[in-house]
Amino acid sequence: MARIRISARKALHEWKLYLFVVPSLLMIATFSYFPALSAVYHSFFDWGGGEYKQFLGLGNYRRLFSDPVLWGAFGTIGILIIANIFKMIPSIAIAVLVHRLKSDRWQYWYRVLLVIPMIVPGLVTLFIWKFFFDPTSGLLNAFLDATHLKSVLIELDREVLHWNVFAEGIPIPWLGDPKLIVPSLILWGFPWIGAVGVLIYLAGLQSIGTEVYEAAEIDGASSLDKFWYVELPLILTQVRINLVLLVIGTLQGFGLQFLLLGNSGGAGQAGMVPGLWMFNKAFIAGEFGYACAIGMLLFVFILVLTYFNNKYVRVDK
Amino acid sequence: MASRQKKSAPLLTALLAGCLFAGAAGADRGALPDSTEAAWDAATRLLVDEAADYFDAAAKQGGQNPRPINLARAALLLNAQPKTEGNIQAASALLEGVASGNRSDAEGITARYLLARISHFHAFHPDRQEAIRRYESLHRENPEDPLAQSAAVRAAMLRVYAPGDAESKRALLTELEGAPPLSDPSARREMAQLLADGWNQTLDAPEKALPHLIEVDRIGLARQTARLDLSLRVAETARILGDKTVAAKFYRQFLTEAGRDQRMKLALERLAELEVIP
Amino acid sequence: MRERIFNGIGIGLLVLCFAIALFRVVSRTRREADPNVTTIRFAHWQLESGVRDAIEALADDYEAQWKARGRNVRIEQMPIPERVYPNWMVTQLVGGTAPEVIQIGIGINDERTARFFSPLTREVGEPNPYNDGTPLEGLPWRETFVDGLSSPLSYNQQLLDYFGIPMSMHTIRVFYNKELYQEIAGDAPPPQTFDELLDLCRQVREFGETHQRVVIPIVGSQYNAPYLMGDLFKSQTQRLMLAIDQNHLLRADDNARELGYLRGKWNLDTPAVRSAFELMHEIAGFMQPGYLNASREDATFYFVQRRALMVTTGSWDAASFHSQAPFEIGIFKLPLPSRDHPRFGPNILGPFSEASVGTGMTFGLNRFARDSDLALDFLRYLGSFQASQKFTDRSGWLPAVVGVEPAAKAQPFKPLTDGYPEGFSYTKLNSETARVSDKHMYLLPRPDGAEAFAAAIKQEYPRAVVQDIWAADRGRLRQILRNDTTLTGFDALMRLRPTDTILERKRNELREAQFGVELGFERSRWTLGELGHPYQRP
Repeated sequence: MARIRISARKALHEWKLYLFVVPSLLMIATFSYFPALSAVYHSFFDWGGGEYKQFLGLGNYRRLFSDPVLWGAFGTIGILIIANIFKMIPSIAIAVLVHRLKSDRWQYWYRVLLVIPMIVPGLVTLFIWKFFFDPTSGLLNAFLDATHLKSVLIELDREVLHWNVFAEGIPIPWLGDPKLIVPSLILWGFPWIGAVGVLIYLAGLQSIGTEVYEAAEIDGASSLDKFWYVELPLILTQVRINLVLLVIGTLQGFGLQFLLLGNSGGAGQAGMVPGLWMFNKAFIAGEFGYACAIGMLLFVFILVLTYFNNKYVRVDK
Repeated sequence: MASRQKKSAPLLTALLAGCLFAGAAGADRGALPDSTEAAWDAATRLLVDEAADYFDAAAKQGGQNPRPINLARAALLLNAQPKTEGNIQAASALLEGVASGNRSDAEGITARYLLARISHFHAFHPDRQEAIRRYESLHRENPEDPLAQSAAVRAAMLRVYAPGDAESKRALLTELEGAPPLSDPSARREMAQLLADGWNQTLDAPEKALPHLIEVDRIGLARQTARLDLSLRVAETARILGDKTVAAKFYRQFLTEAGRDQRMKLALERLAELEVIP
Repeated sequence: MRERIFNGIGIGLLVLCFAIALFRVVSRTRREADPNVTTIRFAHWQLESGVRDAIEALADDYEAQWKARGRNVRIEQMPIPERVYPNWMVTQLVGGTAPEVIQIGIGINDERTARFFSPLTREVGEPNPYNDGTPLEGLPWRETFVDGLSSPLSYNQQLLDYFGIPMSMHTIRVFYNKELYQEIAGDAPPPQTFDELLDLCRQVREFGETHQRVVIPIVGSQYNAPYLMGDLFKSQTQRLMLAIDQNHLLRADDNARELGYLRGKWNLDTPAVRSAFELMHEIAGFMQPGYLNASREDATFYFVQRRALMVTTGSWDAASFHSQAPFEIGIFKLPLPSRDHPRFGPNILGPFSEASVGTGMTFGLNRFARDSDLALDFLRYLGSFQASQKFTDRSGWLPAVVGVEPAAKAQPFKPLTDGYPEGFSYTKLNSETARVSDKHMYLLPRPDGAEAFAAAIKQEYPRAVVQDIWAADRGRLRQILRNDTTLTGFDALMRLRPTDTILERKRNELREAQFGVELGFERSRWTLGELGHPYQRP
């Protein structure tokens, strides 16, 4: 699309209209930009969150690079990001299946069924999962006992894993053993069908015209072929958007770990992620300045990842 | 007229919003003190910025003796937030100016004391040797001034807690014990506390610390919690050294003053063990 | 047509909700704006069962007293959840809309206290008129509180003024399900000794196995377990505390404890410390698996759902338990090993004294309150003998006022002051040692728990101790720096008001405190240097 140049005079002719944007801009400046800029500013200080602050220059940043807990946390987050990428697959699969339903009515009802759980606040879902993981009265252990899958896990532990976390007669401490914490975080949210993701993919799929499918059928494409060669390429934009949001969300997020494991990242700090470490440094250790520096590091990570995503994850239309 | 009002309404609305925002950003600051006394009162209540604003305004206005105002500005700059090297250097410059006016009046002594404190604590790169030099020079030139005597104690503290072997510590503590006593009670008490602490911590010599602890008690402490701790320190030290009389006296002193303290039963038992008849 | 009806219902609901909200706001605003009614707003975070009702009863009484005097006074209680209280309070204070009487203790620092709260030093030195006709008549108000208002929430040691009036105090106890206890242990009295406690826990285990029921002997959580574990550890370090107490204060002085570790006076292999780990391991084995991940609510859930026999928590939870649990609750003090216990006794002095338990639920006066005289009067009423008696009777919480008889349900929580000083806790020197110990606490319940735990934290513990000492020294340094300005201010004021004895007292107290902090800082710095860990400024 060709660029249209507008002269400054023309742009400012109805200058009073811009004033309508000022309140919104002020709100964004106050509640979005100001806290972020404040964090940048405070990352250069020894600041306890109160009024006392001492300028440190790059002291907090130097400390970042020798912080073993922080870099360990990045390792954990790396695993979670990869796991989350795989966890996108069920949403895509469900969207395709719903899209392929011949009956519009059934499509509608499946969409409603997907949306209804969204009423439940995310926090409640987290608490329910915490209950699932409870070693004594949780559903997960009860399910494993009832289906004798626990004995499979015991055998697996004995022969392959050598973790010594599964034993007969002892409830599995899903969130209480360092070796089980990351698998529990990955397991969380099973079957990993996010309503928002499904709806986004459905919207993308519905923009595919029927003639495309007809053409594919004429060419002898199977169901799987239609998915790989028709549907997936045409929803890749949505997939890419979700991927970016997922990476940003996983990097930044710590609510899941905080609620399930507490502020110290659980047994052996196995569930410590950078966001949680930042929270810990701010609100437990009272080192707000250092926490801001961690925030800046996270910001740089996200920026770099987003840049690579935009540059290299291209969608050929 | 009506159309001009209509046209300017969005502008006024935007300006109003902007003013509210700016106003909210400054909402945490209190009212400006209206007198020197009020300004110093604010400073004692940690409202450093308000007090600093008053003295800065007084300095700009002029017409008054600048020395007390500059002294105030410097003292407040030491704790202006955020703490930067620029602030500390500015405070130093102001204090040097005040001290150069008169080295031995109240403002001059306070300024020199604060300069020593800057070298000791406030500077981003403290210079403890420079702090000792400043403290000792202040005391040497003003031996009877309470603040200068307090400076002497700080210089002694820096020497006691400087790196050194046991012999040098012993020699230093003995020398400090032999120095002429300070005339100001608070400074004398501080010196006694330092000597007790020095003997105890650096040389593990409670027998040398005990007389100084007793001296602290004789001079007196203002805070009840400190008095209770001191009574027990003396009692326990005396008990360990076998001085039952002193130990019993101070256990009783503790028990008399302590209303509700978790150490009472233990103190009672210790007293009973001493079997001293008053 | 159908669509119109649905749209109409939707719009109607919206309008109805808006109307209700508008009505509530307007009616509240109208009440506040009524010139004939003086409203005192009163904010706190104590949402525990019984407390709000007790406060409401006090408010009603107070309003009735003023009505009898011909003035319309309204007390508006504002209970705010604890989690959001700090943010809410700061926003209200900075925005100038804060209530007149505010609970203090979380989210407040010295600067904000100085800026937004009225000092009450003069008032607490005078008798409280609401104590007339009671045994406390004529006594300075300060002396009518069990701790003489010495707690840091009441007396600010930096500002050297009184800012808070407390209403209660709390102790830690073990709560148990009486019915379940009867099923398991019959008519035996609750455990009086540590071994009886362990026997009871074993009985619970056997009961669970026999009856195919999940019954946890003692339920633990991130919130509850530290009370139990902390006391167990401190029992084993009572004698050790005296041995490392270089300042001879007969208490666990932070500096002596930390520097004592670096000097080698104690370490994780010291017999008393190992004994403490073993003690903790014994009890951890009776908590539910994964207890460290359980929250306070999870522990409460287990207890009131009859899945656990016992839970350790503060007296603040008593009323909530009584209201939620469908069974009768018993209470006893945690029985620690005694001096003559064959295994754990040698390290013990004796039961802990609870004399150092301070008061809490402390309220301050907003400096910018609209009707500050009435707000202060309300505070006087709350801190009076009569109100305190009513408060304890209605809430079941301990009173903070001398001579007030705790309600029957609060009796088990009365502090037991006949005892010895506690030992020191290894875990919570500061945030780094706490993090290291929390990281490996999950090892404690294992069969070799004590050994495994000690081995796991040994690697990181020395560095954590040093970092915590540095952090503590940084705090001391900040105080020293701040006090230089404050003391200069006091000296300047003394020259302007040379006969002001209150000013002189404050100046002397601060000077004394400042010297103590400097001495501590230099001592710590020197010791760190001697031991090869030179102090690092940020």
